Amino acid sequence: MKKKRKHRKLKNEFLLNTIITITFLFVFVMVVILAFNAKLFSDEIYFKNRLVSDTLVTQLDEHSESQLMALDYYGEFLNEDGFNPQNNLDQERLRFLLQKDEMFMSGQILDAEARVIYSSSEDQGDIGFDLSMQPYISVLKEEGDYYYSNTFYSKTHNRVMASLSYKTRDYYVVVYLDLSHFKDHINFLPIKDQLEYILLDHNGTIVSSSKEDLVEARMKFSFYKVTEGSRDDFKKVIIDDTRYLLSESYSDLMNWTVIILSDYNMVLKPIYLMVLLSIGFSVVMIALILVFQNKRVNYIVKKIQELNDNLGRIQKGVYDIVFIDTPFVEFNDMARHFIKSTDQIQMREEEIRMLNSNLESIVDSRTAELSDKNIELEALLKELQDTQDLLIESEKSASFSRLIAGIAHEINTPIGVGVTMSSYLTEASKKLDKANKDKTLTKSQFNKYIEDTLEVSSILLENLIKAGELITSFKTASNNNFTYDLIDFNFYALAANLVKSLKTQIKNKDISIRLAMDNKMLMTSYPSAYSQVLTNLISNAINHGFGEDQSGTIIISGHMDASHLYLSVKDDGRGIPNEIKGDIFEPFFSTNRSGGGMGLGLSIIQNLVVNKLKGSILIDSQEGSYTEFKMTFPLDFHKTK
Amino acid sequence: MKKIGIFLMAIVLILSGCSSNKPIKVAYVAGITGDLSELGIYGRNAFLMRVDEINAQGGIDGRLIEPLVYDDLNDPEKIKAIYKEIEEEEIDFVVGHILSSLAESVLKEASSEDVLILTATMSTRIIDNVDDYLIRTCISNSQQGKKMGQLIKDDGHRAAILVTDQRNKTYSDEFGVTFESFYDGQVMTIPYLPDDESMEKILQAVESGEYGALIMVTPALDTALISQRIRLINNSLDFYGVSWSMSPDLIANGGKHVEGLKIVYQEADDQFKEARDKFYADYLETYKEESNFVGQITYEISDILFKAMKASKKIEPDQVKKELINHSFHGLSGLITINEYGDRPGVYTTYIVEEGQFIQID
Repeated sequence: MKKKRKHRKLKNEFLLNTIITITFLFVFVMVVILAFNAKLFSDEIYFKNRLVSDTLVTQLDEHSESQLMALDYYGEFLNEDGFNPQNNLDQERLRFLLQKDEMFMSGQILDAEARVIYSSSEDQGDIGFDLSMQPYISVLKEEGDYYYSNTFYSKTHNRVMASLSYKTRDYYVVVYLDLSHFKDHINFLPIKDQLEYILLDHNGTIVSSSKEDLVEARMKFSFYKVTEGSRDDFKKVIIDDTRYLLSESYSDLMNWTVIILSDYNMVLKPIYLMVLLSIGFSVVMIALILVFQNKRVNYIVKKIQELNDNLGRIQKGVYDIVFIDTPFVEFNDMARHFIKSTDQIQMREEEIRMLNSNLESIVDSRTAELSDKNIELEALLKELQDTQDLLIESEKSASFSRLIAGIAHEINTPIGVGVTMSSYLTEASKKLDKANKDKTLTKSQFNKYIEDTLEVSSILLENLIKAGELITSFKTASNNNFTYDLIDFNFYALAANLVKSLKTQIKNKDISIRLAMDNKMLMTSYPSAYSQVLTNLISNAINHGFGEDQSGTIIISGHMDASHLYLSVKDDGRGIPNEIKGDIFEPFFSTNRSGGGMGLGLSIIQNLVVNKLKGSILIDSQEGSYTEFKMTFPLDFHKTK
Repeated sequence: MKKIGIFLMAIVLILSGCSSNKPIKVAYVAGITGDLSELGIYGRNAFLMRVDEINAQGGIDGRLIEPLVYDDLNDPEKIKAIYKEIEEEEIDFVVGHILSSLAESVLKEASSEDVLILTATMSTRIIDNVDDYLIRTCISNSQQGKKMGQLIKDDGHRAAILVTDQRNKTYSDEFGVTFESFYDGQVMTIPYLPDDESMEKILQAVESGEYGALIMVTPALDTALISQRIRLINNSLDFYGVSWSMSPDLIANGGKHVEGLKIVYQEADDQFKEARDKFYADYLETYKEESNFVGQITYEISDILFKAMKASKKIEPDQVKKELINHSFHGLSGLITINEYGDRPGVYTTYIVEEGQFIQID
């Protein structure tokens, strides 16, 4: 089905298009700006963070340099001629040196075999320990080599530590760094609140961090998945479900890496702000543009309306229209074409007027001719109607005559017999009366009279009864003697009961009756009338549909739609000859008059179907093959009124 | 308006994306901070390494493994709270738990099919022959005590000092009981805590000269420390250690003083040496430091868990358990068979420290 096109106002369409265009434009511009700004913000944050991490590395390097300077100083002291680790004075000086800088938790001096010869610990329990298998000793090959070790948990200090080992000419110096307080040494660095820092040792273990639990658990930074990053040093990482932007710098002196993490929300925050501002700005812009556009659109719509009004005036035959000059070339061109068109219309109208005046005279003469012909035709039509009425009346009369002739023919026989018997009885009675008066009446004569009278009375009564029955049939045919109730009923139930009762009629015949319809066929009508129609049709099929000893089937089928019942009664019997098909609904038409048929059955059915039930009935038959009565009835009789 | 609708629909479709397979959560629980945390850290690193490898191969049936690490501080009191978190996180599989002293608390959590726990180190006999949801890939502690008893006897020692770490009392005491039942010599048991008093008692016993063997049921750092201290006063005493101390930390911190120390440890099949070497090389490559035995066996147990998950019809504790019990797996130390109680039958063997290396001598 074609959808009805919805009509819209031109002004609304103009304004809607403006809004859509502006919205799309702003969305596009916003996307471009945001993409650009996201990169700009990311870059800015990265460079700031990189600056922080570089600064941290500088500070770390300075810190490391001061540690190494201290170790150099120890080295010089240890290399001094006459240094003896067993000497109490030298031990005091070492202790002083280790405590002076407060950079180290504790320290040990190892001999060339990596045995502890001096320890800053109070109990000196580690004196003599062999540390030659420690990786932080085995890597030191040359004088001046130093090494920041892996982190480890110190049982002595109950904290995570790392060592810094250093090789002098004859000794090793090992100092221990307290990593849990390492940030005290770098707290002067410009770490902002929203930034986190992480220091990684040479094997990626976290040695210091603003997130202290990471140090305690000696976490490897590789545990955190770097999720994104086009550059090696600019990545995103997720720690504890928070996404960070990462920048890193490397300290050559310590072999440590400085990582600065900034919450990615820092990047998103200004972007969100910018989105909000952009949306606000867009809304204001759209409002302003709409206000401005509204004025322009109103003007255009007004001009179009003006054109429309002028068209209306032209339709009414007013041609003196005036167009006011507008700033728009298109409108002015249109107005000029309008005025030209108006002039052309006026010229054509004049031409038409002239043609019309000629036409009028022609039309008048033709009209007069037509009027004469018309009168003739009317007279002919009247004649035709009269003839038609006559024919109808004749036909009615003929029908009536046929009806009367039928009735007369039927009644004539019993009445004729009645008259004859009455005449005979009268004559016999007169003879008996005369014989009685003449006193010549014999007993045998009287007995014969009585005998004849009884016989004649019996014949008379029989014929009068037959005449009475005939009259009853005529009344049935005119359906005046039925009383029907208009009720809701199930046609199927009615038909089924009927078929059941009629099966007794076919008990001695090889005929079957079949019902083919839905078992729920509700309707509102006169069930008694339907019963009669069906009874007559089925009886008709049983009695006339089949030849002597012919077997067959009578099928009663029906279906319904929203408003009608379609019913068929069909037999596969001998069919009806073509020459009598047109007569079978006629009253008194019978092919079995000799068998007692009066020829009223189908006439009664047609009368009930058409007049009582407001339906229709058709017959379809093929001789030697079948006969079918097709009927259509309204489902709700109320709706037929 | 129709155009706007299509445009919005397109945006919604682009933004909606596709849903992916839900990851499988697997927890690693061990003491990873504080005292005795060294082993937990090796285990954690090895566990995460295996998870990374599995995920790099596409996970299990297309589902990635989501590792979650919990720190039990080696404290039995913490276990209940951690398992509450594990339940809230809807984690069905747990790997870890280092010390046998946690066993009783862990066993309570392993009684239901809500979670399947796999431990590579809790060798306590408490776990032996218990049909529950705790699977163990280390050999029972009773076997270790038995082996040590035989070893000391075979080495001809008639008297030995037994240092038992009280921080892992269940393990140490059990070891002591089985050791003494297989060793008929004189035993001087010294309960150990990392303090001067314990060290003093050990030194006194050594100085008495009555004992030829020192058995240290202590972790690597303490074994190294005790060895260093003893060697300064006694060069003839034979040192013995348990699997708990089999770690590069023992050698790094013990130096030459732990040379000749014998350790009783689970046997390693030479046929699996290539797999072991590969693990140690990969660990070194990943973490720039050497792994110890806990790293090895945690990697091994993680691998066994993931193999069972792959074989299982459904990745649920009871189904995966079915794929573990009465099954054998190629591990790093050999063919590992899990019996119907979720235990690993097997025997211990002897290693010796020579030139900074652990050498299997049986």
